[in-house]
Amino acid sequence: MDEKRIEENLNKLKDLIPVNYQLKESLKKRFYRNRWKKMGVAIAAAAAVLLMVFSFGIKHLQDNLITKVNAEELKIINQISFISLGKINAGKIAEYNGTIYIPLHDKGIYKYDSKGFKKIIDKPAGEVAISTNGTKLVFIANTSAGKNAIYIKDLNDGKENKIIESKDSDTYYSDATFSPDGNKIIYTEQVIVPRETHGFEVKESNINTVDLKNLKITKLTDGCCGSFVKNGDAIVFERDNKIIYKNLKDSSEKIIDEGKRPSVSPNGYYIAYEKYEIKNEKVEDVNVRINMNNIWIADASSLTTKKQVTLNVPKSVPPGMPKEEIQNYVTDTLYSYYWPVWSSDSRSIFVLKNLNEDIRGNTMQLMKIELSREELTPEEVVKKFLQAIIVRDKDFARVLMKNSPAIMIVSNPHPVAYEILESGTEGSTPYVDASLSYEYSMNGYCSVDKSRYYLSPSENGYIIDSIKHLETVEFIEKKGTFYKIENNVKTKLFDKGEIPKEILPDNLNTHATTLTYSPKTNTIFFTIQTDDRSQTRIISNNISKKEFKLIDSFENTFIPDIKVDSSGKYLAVLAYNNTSQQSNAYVYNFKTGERINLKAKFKNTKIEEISPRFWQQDKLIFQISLKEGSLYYIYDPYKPYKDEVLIP
Amino acid sequence: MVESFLEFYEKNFDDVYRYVYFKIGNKWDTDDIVSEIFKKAYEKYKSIKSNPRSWLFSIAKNTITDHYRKNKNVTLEDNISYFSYHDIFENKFEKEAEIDCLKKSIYSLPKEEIEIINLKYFAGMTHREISQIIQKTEDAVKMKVFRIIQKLKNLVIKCLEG
Repeated sequence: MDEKRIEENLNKLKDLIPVNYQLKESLKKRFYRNRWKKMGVAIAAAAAVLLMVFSFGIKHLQDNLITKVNAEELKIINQISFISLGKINAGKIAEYNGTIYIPLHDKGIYKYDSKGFKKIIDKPAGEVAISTNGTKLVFIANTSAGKNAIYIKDLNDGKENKIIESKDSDTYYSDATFSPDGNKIIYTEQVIVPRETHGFEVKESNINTVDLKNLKITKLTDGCCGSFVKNGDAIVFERDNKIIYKNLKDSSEKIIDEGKRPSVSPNGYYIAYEKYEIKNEKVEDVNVRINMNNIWIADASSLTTKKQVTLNVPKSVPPGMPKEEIQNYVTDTLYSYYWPVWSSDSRSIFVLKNLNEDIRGNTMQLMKIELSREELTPEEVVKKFLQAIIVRDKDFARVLMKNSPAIMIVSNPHPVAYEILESGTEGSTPYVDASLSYEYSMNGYCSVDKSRYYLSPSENGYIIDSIKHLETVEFIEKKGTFYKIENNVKTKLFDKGEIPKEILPDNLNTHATTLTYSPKTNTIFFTIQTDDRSQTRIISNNISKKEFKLIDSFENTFIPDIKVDSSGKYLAVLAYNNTSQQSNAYVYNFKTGERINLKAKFKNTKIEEISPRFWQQDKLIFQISLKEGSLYYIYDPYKPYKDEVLIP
Repeated sequence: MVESFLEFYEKNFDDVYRYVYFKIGNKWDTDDIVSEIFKKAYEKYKSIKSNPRSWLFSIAKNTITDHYRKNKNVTLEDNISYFSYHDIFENKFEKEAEIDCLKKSIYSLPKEEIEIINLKYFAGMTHREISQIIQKTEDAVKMKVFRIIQKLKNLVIKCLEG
């Protein structure tokens, strides 16, 4: 190895950085076009005029330089539900540069960022929106006199100002959002009165704007849920269950689609909205009528294309219902997707997702759908698929498979980590080999399944056609003896008596509680606990070297779960202190010997539970539970920002 | 002048693209930033007297900084590295251990040294061109490059030894 070799390899690396030649060509065409325009005009016009036209040319060029694609060409590259709110209802959220603002029913507005989850507005509000520069929030709340009012909170100085207040208690405000320049608020004003017999009637529904400089109110049209379109001098809104684009210059209107609650992306390119359709299907001789609900996106400028970005499925026929007696069955979808909101960079949509089944536990979630102009590669498809399997996002896992099995997610042993091993082609079929590790909580068992995923091209890039199981290696502890099972052959690795006494707890009545395996370093990690739970040790055993190491020891602490990352260099640990009854999560860095306390990253958030969920290759996804709900975070030990945690 | 701009564009697009992509780490932002860089270059190209390549890469550097300031709420120069240098090389599952170790070694270098590697080897700039961008003498750049390569050699050897 010499310097020349390093330089040769650097040149090889250069070739591995892909160049977007499509962009190169399209930009070149624009420069050509511009030159042609400019020259044509130059011949005909005087110098002063030429200058003006050239300026127009530059402006025209600027407007068109940033490449953009139609809505239908956008690819869904990831989908993750990262907040579970349980039975607490959330309203329309807002996002700016990774910070999410969530109104929780009757509780106020919360800020979810890398530092935790904190209430920032006490007033109970059903919705919140943020200005395009991220400095102001607009929200609607009731005044002490029982009227509706629109408030603005300045995030820099923390001041809250009431902008307008309803004239009586029958007038309600909703859907308040900022104009792209931040100078106006567009909102819905509705007069809702009780009917003579029962229920309520919307007597009036206006889309208004209020100018924040002079508080002048202007009615734009009838309808609701209006948003301005950046650079468009237009609004998009809902009227009679239709999404409408209105040109404010000539007042012309165009129906984009049937749907509700449109949201225009901050760059002005796309509209996201809820769409409701009735679909009829025949399932086992039963006519099933499904009230289908999904989120769609459409173009805001050309208004020509649309695309569905969620995948909903019908609720299953309730168990116990005799199928032979049912001729017609009307059902809803398993999930309700609603209130789509764009991220500040216009590249993701946040959607509230409600599980329409009366079960215990978490029913309402906040989901993020990431869109891209790039297609997913086979490796990326398999990565996203395995991630969806681990976080039990069944519907997204199904999007990535051609023929998805009815039951996809198993609860125990549960998957805890994945690794992409290699990729290639068999004949002309692309494949990706990946491993998925499974564990039982509080049990000395883990397994690593290797599978080959075969893919074919699809609208998002690739789709998984089939999965071939390659091999499974299992590790199990039984009565103090550790075994490896491969190809149905059980091999004893070691027993408790072989573990050096000095690293075992003092009390000899011990048992193993949990174990995990790193294929990369051929090492198993396990915990040994005294039967009285007074001492616990985390120990590793390098199977090749037959070497034991003490990772850490705890007192009065129970370790129900440990997870090693794909490189074998980091171990995530869930620890319950028996005295304080508090959980904590740690990450051990075997290179530096450091122990990182994940709970300590949240100074102003009252955490009830914290638990490592899974390793996304080399990033740890963990969850914190608060009284308001559960939130996901990422800890990435390899990145320079490793002192911080990030939201997904 | 416009014709020569097209030649200039043709000659430099790939280098600028690689330079930006390596720093930014995702294609979407890279596409937008590269478009922005050439838009700025197009507007000002006729006023350039000398060293158009150094000038173009200065635009690139500033556009990337502006992008972070605008989109990531980053104000300090140091923080920019927090969002930089993702593994963007094609064929991630490269089995060649030497290349793999070289990648890891590059990412473990200080930010300024990664920048020099990017300019010299991925953007294909000469020592003189780099000296104009980072405002050091040509000899100083030459020396720096030599030292970085030596450092990389030692890191790669260490990595290969496991």
